[in-house]
Amino acid sequence: MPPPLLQLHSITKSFEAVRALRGVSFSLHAGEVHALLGENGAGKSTLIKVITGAHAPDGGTLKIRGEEHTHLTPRMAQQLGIACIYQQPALFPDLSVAENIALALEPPAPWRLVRRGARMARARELMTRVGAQIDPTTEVGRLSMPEQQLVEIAKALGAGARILIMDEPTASLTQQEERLLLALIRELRTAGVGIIYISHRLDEIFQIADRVTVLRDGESVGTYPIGEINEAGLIHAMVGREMTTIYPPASAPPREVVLSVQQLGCASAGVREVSFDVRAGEVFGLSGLVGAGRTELARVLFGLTPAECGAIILNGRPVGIASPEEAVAHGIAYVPEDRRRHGVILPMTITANSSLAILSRLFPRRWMRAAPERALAADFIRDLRIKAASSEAPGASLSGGNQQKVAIARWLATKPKVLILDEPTQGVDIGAKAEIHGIIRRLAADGLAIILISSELPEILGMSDRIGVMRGGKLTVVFTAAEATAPSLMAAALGQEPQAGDAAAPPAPPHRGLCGPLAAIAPAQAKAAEQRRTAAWSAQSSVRRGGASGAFREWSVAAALAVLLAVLAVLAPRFFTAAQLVPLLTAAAPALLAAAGASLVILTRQIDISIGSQFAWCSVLAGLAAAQGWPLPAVCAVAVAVGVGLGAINGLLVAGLQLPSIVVTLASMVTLREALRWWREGEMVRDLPSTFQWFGLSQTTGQWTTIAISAACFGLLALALGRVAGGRFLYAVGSDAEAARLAGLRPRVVTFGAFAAAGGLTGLAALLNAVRFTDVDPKSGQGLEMQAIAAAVVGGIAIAGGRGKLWGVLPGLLILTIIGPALVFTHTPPQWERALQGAIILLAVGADGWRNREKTA
Amino acid sequence: MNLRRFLRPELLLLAALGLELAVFSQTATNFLSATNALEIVRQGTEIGLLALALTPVILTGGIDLSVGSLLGLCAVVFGKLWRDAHFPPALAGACTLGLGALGGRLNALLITELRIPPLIVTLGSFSLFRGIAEGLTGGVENYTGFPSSFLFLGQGYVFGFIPAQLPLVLVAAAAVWLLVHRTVYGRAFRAIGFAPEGARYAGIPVASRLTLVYVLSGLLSAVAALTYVAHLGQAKADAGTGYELLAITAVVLGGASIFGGVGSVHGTILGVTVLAVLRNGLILSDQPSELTGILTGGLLLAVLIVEAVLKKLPSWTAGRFKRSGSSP
Amino acid sequence: MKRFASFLLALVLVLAFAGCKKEKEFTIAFMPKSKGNSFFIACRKGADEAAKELNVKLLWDGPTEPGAAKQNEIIETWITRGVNAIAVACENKEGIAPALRKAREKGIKVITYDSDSATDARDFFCNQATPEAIGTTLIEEAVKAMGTEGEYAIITASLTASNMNEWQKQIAAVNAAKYPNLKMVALRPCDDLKDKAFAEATALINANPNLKLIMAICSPAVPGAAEAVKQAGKVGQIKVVGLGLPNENKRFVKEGVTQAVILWKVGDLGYLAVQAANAATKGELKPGATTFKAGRLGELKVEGSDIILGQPFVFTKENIDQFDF
Repeated sequence: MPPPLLQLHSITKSFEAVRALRGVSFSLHAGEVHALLGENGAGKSTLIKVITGAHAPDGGTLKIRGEEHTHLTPRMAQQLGIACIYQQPALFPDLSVAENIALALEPPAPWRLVRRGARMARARELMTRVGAQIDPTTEVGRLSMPEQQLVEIAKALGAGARILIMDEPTASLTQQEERLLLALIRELRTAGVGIIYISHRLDEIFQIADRVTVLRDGESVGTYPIGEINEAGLIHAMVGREMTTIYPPASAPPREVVLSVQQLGCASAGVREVSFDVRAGEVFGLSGLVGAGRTELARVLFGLTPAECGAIILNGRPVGIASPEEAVAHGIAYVPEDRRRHGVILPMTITANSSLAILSRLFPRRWMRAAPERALAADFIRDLRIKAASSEAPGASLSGGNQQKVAIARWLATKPKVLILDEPTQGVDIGAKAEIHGIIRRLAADGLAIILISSELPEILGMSDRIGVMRGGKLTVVFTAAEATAPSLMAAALGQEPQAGDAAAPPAPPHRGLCGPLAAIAPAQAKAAEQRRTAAWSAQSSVRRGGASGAFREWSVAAALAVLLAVLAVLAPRFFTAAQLVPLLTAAAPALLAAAGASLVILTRQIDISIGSQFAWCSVLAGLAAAQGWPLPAVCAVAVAVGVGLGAINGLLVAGLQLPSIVVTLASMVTLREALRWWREGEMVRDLPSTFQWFGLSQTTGQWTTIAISAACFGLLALALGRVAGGRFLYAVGSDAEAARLAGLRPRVVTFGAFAAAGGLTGLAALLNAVRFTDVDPKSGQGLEMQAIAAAVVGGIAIAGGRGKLWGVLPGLLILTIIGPALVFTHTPPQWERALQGAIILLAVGADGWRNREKTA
Repeated sequence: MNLRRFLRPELLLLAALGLELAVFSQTATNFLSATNALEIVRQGTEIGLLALALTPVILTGGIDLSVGSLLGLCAVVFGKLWRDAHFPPALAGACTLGLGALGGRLNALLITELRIPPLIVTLGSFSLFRGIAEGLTGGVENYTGFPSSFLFLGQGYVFGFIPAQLPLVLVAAAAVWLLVHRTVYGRAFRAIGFAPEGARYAGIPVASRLTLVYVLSGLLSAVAALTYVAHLGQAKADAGTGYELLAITAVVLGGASIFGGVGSVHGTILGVTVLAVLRNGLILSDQPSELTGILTGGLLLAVLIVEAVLKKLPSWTAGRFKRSGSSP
Repeated sequence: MKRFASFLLALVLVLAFAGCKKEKEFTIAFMPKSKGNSFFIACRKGADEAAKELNVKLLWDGPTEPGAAKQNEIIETWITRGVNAIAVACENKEGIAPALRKAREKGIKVITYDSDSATDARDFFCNQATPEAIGTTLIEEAVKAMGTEGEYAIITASLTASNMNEWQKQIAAVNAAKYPNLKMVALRPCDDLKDKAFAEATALINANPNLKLIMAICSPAVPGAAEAVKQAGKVGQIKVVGLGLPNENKRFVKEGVTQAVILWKVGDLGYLAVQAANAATKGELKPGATTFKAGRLGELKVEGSDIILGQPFVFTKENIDQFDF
């Protein structure tokens, strides 16, 4: 028998305080679907990242096809035929679908041409295979979550993986998509691919898996052939006990209505005409599929996306909630779903986190004292049994359950009337979960009105006094605790009558109701998916990036340039003579290259403000080389090499030591500039040989040569950014460095490359500038960095990285360079030039910001 | 672990300051004297005020490149109000402070309403403010001849030896220190710097807090403009050119993270002090002023590199320890 | 606790090294408007020469970019350091005055050269050329090159450079009084950069078809403007005059692109400034003196508190080869 495709033995892995894996063993054979089961936080995701080389294990062995690997990197894993579809898609939001697929499939060699046609064809074919109707040219950031999942699946299919890992691939697919996917998996299994399949849907696992391994608290509970175990057994293995009576009983009967929501709607957030009441002492459960609008409803109630219609009535008085501050003031508290991003501020201490929402109340005069805060934190640490080294421990050092308790503590501190809990036990270990349930009950008993959003049916059934079910942004039905059963909730969530499903969707099998936490995420209906697509995601993705979108910026800048030229044509036709334009373009040629260099760096989400100083060094050293009588090619080499060298130093510090680029290049800018001044004392490099000026050509030829070199380099670079793989790597790294790492790219090398290349371009620019004259001014390049960065920004290169086309930089630069001469030609006094430049920068970025705002409002 | 906690940025800077004092006490003339210490304060006033202005901004994860330009604009407008509009200096000063706040408000408006990154907004206003200053004066106008009561602010000595700037700087530093370290606002700045979305979810009014830091930054730039004018006795459009980078250098040197959340006002003051002592000591040691720039850049890099290496050190050793410990 | 401990450590270190050093050597501090400006580097040569002759220590420092605030800071630090005399080329009449007054209060003699400060802020001004003289020479040379009618344009360093603003005032005054048919059509700043001066000159040439002359009143602008005229193929049609150094302009003067480069002998100016600083400190040059014997320069006239070195010097094709600075 051949060795297993994959064999893990006693793998351990810890993150700071959390032991994620404690000696897990696992194997996978060719032609096998091996399901991996476990509650959230059991260690599944960590195990997968170990297999894909994203995390290095702390201990244990990992064998692939019998061969042991100790230092697996994502790229090696990829080469070994391992592909993974992560739960959180590892995609580049700024790049197209075809490009995302290509970056995953094509070798990470930077120097090769990108064949767009082939890419497009392959992307189309793969999208058809996964049964998705997505145009490959669409930007991934504009796709919905399930669509992004499909792109991930297509990537893995295209890679022809031998080991395919799927982390809850069907969680957000429509039923049709899901059926297609399962068929695909069977097809792949027949072809001898080994598949690790993670899912919470037991029915799916029984349909498709050959073996199943259960993880619990970072340990492997056991591996079972699928025929030898039933659902009850699996659940028992996962939770470690029977799923009964773990929920504390309701105590006091609910009292008066605290919160009444009437016809509440917010179309942009995907919430429609929701009405319900919550009473003091009541836990109102909100059930429904992922994306059915539960979190969105909570966000409306909390003022994050203010309501557009309907009424929120608190204690009988209608209130308007336009922001979280107002929600807090009215006594509404919201413990968000994403604990690490929204619930807790990880670097801050427990004390600071728990007092954050009531600072103004705790210290009404705005002066802070340590004692009340400490006392508050100490109370919560005691009451909620938060396990931490001290109240001054940062949130990041806590385990998930304790982080969640801190998030709850923050909101209990506000003494709210209404507490909204969004998936409060997700990713929390069993013990902490029971504690949180106890806390919820206690709070209800104290008279709080609680809205509990949960995807775990047993939790919602066990905790709630009444349960509302949402579907497609609407609250469709409300059950009392006595009426509600798992099947009835699920049916309501799917929009079905309990037993009579439509033809496309098989009736919910009875075991779904019993299968506890696993049934939570059930197949979504096309309608729900569409809802999400149109609402939350498309809106969020454009807000999130905030950069120039589409080619709007490029065209608007080009249009602005055209207007400026048209005005000049009317007011000063003499501007359009060769005598003016040729020297102007010759002077702009070096600046264009410098701006291109600045753009490369900005695309990788860094910045280089030392360009001007580099420029001066390159000019002077090239000039000195020429004065020494070095041949022209050697002089050119000096200029470029010095630039590459200086850029590489910056790159080394930024990429190697992960230092902030703005600070590093600020330091190198000052150091280089002053060092040159000290050395040269401002003296020009004079009396260069006649072969230096215009490369020894005649003036006209020289001018055109300069322009041609600059234009050719710029054009090639702009093409290369689109058509050479290495260029796309810049976008990928700037778009999402972590995704780039998972795709097998090396973000640090790419960043370093961008700095070095920018240095080289600056060197070339310095050379093109120097050959225009007979002497080299050591002050040349002063202020160039600001001009270059401004040109890039005006031209639409987003400062947040990953977006913008180099072509836009050309009109951007021309606008900024033409202002000066335009003032001369229109006989305008010169003192307003700088103000005009500033106004143009602000107008260009302001117009974009305004446009994005209009679109998302 | 202990080493890492011990070598915090402030301590690193204290060590640098100690080194400077040790070296300059040997090489510089009349360096170690109370008079010189007070002179250092006098000369560090404008940069110090701007660095104080930038500390809350950088704490929120933002940046303000426009402070130097705003200083220039405020100086010019102050001069114009006093000379051309015949405002008494106090009134003109008050209007100037208003203008500074207004400039900050403009930055804040673009940052919070249009969600443009602060770096780009202030890059634009960096040109805009300086440009307006040049436009208003044609670049040529130099306002001089201010009354001595006003000039006292920048040239006078209280009790004959305490420079008039000292109380002002102390008050400003104390005010910003209290704001950042002792009020709920400071906590909010940090929360925004660490996690802007997280701060919003915590019910912090992010937009109004950001507005506060940028308005404060503009206001302090205006204060710096007044001390600048009083110090030099003139107001011209080139006032404060390049000051923004010096101020940012001081703040970052003082341990603030350009990514936000981390930093302190005392760190900033220490950073300003280290740089001011460096400038002063080098001149007193008869060293050329180019060296100041070189050493400033070098010091900034050195501090960053040491911090980065120290940050990596413990996790690296811990990782090795664990790995060897887990093998059978 | 630990922080305090380390602070103590630093303090102990300092005290261990301590021991105030006092300057005994006779020192003259010599400040340019900005370092890295070839004009002042030529000045420094003369200053060094004088310092050697007089056997005094010469301190040479200044801001790396022109700015009154930075000049101020260095002068105030020099006061702390305790120099015997200060010779300074003022970026700005007013901005530097408070610092200079303070220096005089502390008994330090203050000499200004190249450009003056407020008169009560210094002891003597080494006057080679007043703003009036420079302005007048510039326009007279321009008239010599272009005749008494036609258009000309000025390129300056920056709109905020105060001495250039004074020259411009004088140029405008002479222009209006003596040459009504001469017209200044544009004034452009070049940020003291040669490359930018070139671009500005090119635009000026093309925007003003009747332009007959470019007057470049900061030193990098002269070769920049000459290069622009040359590359535009307008040599002879458009003349260039300016304030600059012979070495940077030799080539253009000889080629006939630049008609006249105006400058004083800067080395002599540096030499005189140090001589005067020395003499004033040692009591050899007292207020009210009418003559001053300045080393190799011989007997110079003193008018009020101005030591007169002479008129601006004009370099032309004929004499430029005799100078090397």
